[in-house]
Amino acid sequence: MYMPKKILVIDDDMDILEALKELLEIFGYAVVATPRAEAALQTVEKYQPDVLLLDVLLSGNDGRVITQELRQHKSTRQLPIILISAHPSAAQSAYASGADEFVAKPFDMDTLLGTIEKHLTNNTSKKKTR
Amino acid sequence: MLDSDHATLTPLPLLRIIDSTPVLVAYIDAQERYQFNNKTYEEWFGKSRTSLTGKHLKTLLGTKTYQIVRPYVRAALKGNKVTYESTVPYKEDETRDIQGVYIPDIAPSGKVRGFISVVRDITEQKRVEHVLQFLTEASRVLASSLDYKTTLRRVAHLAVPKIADWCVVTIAEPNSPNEQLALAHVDPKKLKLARELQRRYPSDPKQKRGIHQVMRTGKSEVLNDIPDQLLVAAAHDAHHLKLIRQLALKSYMIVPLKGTRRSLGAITFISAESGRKYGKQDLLMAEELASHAALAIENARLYTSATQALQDRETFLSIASHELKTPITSMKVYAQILGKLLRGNPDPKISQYLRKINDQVDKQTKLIEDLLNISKIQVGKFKFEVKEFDLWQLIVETVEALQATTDHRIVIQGKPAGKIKGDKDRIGQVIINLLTNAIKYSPDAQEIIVAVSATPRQATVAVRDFGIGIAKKNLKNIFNRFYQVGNSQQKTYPGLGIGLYVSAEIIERHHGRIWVTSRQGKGSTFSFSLPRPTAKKPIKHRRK
Repeated sequence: MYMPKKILVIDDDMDILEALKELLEIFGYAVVATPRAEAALQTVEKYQPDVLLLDVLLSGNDGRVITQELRQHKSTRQLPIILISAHPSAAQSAYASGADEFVAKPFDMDTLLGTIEKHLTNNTSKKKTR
Repeated sequence: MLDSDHATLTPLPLLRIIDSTPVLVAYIDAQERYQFNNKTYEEWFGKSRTSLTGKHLKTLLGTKTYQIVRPYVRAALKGNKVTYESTVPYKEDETRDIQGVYIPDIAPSGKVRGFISVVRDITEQKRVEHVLQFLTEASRVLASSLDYKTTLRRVAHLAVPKIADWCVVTIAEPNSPNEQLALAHVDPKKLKLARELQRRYPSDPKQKRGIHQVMRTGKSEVLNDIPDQLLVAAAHDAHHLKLIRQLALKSYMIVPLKGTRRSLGAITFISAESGRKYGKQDLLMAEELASHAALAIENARLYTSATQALQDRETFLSIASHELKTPITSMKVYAQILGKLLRGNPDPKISQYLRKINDQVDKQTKLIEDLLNISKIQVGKFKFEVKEFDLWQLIVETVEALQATTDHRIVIQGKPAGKIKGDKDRIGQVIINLLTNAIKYSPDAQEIIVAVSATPRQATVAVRDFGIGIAKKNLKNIFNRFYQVGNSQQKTYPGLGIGLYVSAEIIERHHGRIWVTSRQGKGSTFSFSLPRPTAKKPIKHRRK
């Protein structure tokens, strides 16, 4: 039975959140989109996404800090995390925090989808090798 | 004529002349005894000159001064002419600067019979020298840094003991109480006492004289001699009076630090143990110094606020760019969704329009990035991530990406130049800037050539177009900020005119060089070279 891949999107801008949800659903993903970053770990554990798309500058939160926290937990250590930001200069610190990828806003659709796909295949083939 | 004049001069008037010069003139024999003293000796030592004849130098001068002059006396008695400068005790507790000349008196046989001593009081001259030296040094210190608090402290310490025994610098900060920036004295014990005094008996801002008054009125205050009754009047109580009397204050002057719009503070000079008495000349000097200091303070404050303004702008632009990009991001996503949904639509206009929307969004993004970059350059926050990368590969990738957006044919010439150490994204940005310029400024041409060449020391990339070119007079400004060929009224090309400025900054920060050759109507070639990792010395900059 075909199971669509699950993507969790966390971004505090509702417009971007909605646009991303539309885009990713058109391409056949199951999307959970939330502006709330406070309980990221619980959200991740609840929805068990295949990929997490996470904004860097969240109101009252920082995607890089969340990434670091997620990397501390067994259940989320190997979760592919793609950090997204309108500040291209955040790339270096994004990778340093443990993110797999960094994509600058505004994103090019092909780049974003390509990056997601790369990690979906990676995650299935190389599971538990991190 | 001359002879008859001479005749009337001798012998008596000559002695009168010697007596009336303000210089100490004496004849001292080989046994170091005075044989002649002029009248000036009487004023200096308070003894009749006849009583000095036959006296030994040591008897008149005292042990301390004798110790000082003895080597010069010995040298003169060996037949040498001696000139020296020294500081000697004078009267009870003062000192004087003197310049002495000893001229040996040598008999025809060669024997030294004695020497003529001519001693001049150069205390006043020395004082002027000290003042000038101090002013020069203080001005240099004031100009040396924008940290005016530190420089003013240094000036206060320079002033003691050359100019004053005490020096106090007080600064008026807007919306806060006066700050005593410096309190200088050579003796730490006295400093402690003064601090104690200030702590226990703070000065009254309403006083009609002193620092507060000077700062209020902007008028200097000088007191040649501090009378005891002034201390009595100023003292809070008997203990206070005792303490201030201990400081033995003699004379003072307070000069205001005058800013263009308001008082910035004041400098106080006090003399005590040196016995110095301040007069008009000293006040002129102090006012001169104060005007230098006030200028330094204002400059430093202006600089600080200008730097802060740049910093604020950078912060603002950083937030603004983030906010501006947010709607662009969702706009771009929807444009791309539309593109996907309308794929295969028979109307070619639809995909053409969508591509235009996409291009415009990208252009807008680049403008926002440029704005932020230029602001970052100005506050020194333009960061680089340095790694080794293949320049040729970067050029091929960049050209491929840009080729898709233009009708110009972009041709790469030359051969791979090997690895370069630098920020690949930023160098890529330079190549994009040069290529988009080439496209923009050659609307009627078909081709753009990117030529790559290398020497062992450097790799060079040249982007050549066959467009409108640049007039000679505009060439030297081309890498300047906000510069665009043509003026704002006849502006025909879009953009902020900062692409080349940012490019030049990137290349220079990589120790490379960027330049342009151009002929109006024929086209332009923009080139940059970067040192290769094996090259030891960076390439010299040429852009000014």
